[in-house]
Amino acid sequence: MRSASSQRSFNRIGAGVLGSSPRFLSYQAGESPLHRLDARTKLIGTVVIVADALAAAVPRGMIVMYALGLLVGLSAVHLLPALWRTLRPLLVLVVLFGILITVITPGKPLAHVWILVPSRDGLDLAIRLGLQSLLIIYTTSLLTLTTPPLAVAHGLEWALGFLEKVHFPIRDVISMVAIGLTFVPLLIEETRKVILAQRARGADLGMNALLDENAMAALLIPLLLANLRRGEELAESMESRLYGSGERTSMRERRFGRLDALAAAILLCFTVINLLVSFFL
Amino acid sequence: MIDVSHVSFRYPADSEPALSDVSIRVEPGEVVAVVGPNGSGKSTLGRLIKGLLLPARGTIVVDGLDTRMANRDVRRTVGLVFQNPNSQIVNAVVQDEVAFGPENVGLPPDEIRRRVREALRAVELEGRELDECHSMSMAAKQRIALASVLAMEPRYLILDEPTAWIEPGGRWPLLSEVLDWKDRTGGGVVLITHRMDEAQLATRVYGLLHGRLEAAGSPAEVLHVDAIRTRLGLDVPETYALGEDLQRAGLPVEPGAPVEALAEAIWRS
Amino acid sequence: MAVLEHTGNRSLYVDTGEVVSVLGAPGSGKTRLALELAFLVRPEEGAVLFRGKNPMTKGKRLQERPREVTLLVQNAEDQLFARTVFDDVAFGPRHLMLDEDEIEQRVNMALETVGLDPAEVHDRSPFALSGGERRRVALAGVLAMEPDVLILDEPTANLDPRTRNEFLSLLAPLRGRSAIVWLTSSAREAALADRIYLLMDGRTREVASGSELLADWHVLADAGIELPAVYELARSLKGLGGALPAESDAERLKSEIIQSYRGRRAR
Repeated sequence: MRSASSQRSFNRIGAGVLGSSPRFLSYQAGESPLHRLDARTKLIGTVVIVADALAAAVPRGMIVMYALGLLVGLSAVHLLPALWRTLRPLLVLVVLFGILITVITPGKPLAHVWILVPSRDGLDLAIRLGLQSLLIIYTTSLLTLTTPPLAVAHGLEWALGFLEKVHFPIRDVISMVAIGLTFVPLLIEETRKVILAQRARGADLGMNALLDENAMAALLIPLLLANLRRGEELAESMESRLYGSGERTSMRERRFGRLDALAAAILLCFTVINLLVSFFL
Repeated sequence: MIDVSHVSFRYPADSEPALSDVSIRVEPGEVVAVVGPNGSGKSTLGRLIKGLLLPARGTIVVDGLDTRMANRDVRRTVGLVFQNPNSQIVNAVVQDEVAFGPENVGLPPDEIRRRVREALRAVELEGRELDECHSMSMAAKQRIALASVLAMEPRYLILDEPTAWIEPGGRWPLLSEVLDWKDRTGGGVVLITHRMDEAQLATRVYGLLHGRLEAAGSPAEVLHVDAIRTRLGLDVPETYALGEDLQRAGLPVEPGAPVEALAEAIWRS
Repeated sequence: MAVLEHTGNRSLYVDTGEVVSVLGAPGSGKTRLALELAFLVRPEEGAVLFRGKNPMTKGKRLQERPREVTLLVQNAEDQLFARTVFDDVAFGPRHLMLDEDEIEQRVNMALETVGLDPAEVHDRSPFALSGGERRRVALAGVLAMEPDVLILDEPTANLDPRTRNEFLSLLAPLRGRSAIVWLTSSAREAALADRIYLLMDGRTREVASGSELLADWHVLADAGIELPAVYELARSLKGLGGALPAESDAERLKSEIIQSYRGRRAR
């Protein structure tokens, strides 16, 4: 009787009661080829695709790169709905910026709409920037959707490890950020809870609360205290499991496997073709 | 064996010591309960055994390892499950959380996968490897926390009020998973609790009050004495009182057993 | 006319001066219902009426909710924040545009009601108090609003047994001052109310109140409510194949279980 459904909300943070929180770009577990790639391969791949996108000529190079994007997307088809949900609002933003750029960039006028004069150069620039940013957002989204935050973190550590040599604690910084990110949903829920609780005892906490020192304290102090407590407990829990005590391994570490080699080869091909068609054709 | 000998400890910010001259002993294969009211020092004791804190005076030796000298080894030998599952889980996905400890000590991937599999089986969460931790019930989260400690394959397990935050129905399943682990591996368990019925599971009970050892002995010697029970602020569940009443009326029941066990004992005889 | 009313599947009402409880298993949606009743979230279905009117008609923002209804959230002590107990309790009333004298008076009265000495705790930090005392301060904070309706969401959750009993004794003097809606998962606490609603599967239904509540214990058990141990025992025995005793009084139920055991032994 008192099973799954009822257990869900028996929880001091009130999950389920306040509705599920948005999960922006958060990791979705799965077994697609994209999931199975080494995090480092995906990190480097993402950087290369970003560089490719910036270098690609419109339309020739872009066609090549979007073909690659399609190929990557097809290897993790089940993620596409989640990806679409995150991209949709950004798409609107890209289009709006595109229109703005078209209008404010001086150049050969295309038409006269009321007092606005969209220009040919503006349109070209808008299309170029739009295609670039979409590809970049799409690629990085796929990275974060298929790679657990801690694996991204360890990939970054590996890539930026040289900073440790100049005594910058890059490992700790990256791990903290990654762990912080896993707690975003909990933090959002907690914030909602504090707002409701303070309203429940008569506070306003509308937009004007931002100007009211007391109201801000009512919001921030309970949140801060809860998170300090949590931070301390988390640190203990990690220390208990010997975090940071030596070299780490990974359950899914496959080193650079055959799949990684294949991915690298595909990426290299597309990059060469992109550069060829963009600069020499 | 865990040997805590004449240990004192004070937190830097406090004027009163959290523990003074406490000695306890835990053998492999037994369950020891540490009971006492809030602020009696029982959580501090757990952290000292785990090596997260170091004693100011006295020594703590786990299977021959002194927590001061061989801290890292002690931490591998002793697993600690905390109260609040929400603040022990650091990974988004179940299997990553369970793998976290073994990954930290640099085990090979195959070994990590084996341990994750076994730990999840031990807490009856097979098949949920890819689920999101934060969307699960508190009881399930606490089982993940337990699994992530079991995956370190400790010799001893400390549970610091492990059922304080979980729904009542999840309490016995969690504890029985711990007992199964003990039977299977011959490990030792330290159960920190203020609940009478949980303390009843132990072979030996230590009662702490204001950082001092107030009582020590078998459950009968500590838990069944009203004066001690009151002094230690033990939460006497109604089930326990009922069990006592029935026992007094001559029914063959063990006070402290969960209701289902009471019913079975009455029915079977 | 009811001072607060929920229409729809989870219909319930409370009259001025009345204490009603809503009894529901963990996870049955009590917190959600509490938030709806306090006009903090919009109802999933049905409507909430304050003095017969829906104050949150379309277009009204939730911030404009009627301040005559206050809610003590679960674990409300986690929401204390001010430098002194006085400021914390005064936090709500300060939003009512009262003058300082009136606020001072309300805060002192609220603190007295929850059994704290205003002179003693006035300037203390809420964080220097014990957990039980902090929850009292939180209760004082909603009482100082002098609400027409006070909603309590599991007010004794996570208190140790002694603190819980102390806290329950505070609630008696509140009777009559505000209408009270008390959401709880404990049959024993629910029985303290004038009327009792059982919340189950997203619906409410009124059940017998007071000591008669447990006469309905089969129903409560089905709703997943944790019952006094002897009822749980009777239910487990039935699960094993025993006959379900007809008694509803706890003591008599217990002696019946003992008798039937002895009877079986004798045979």
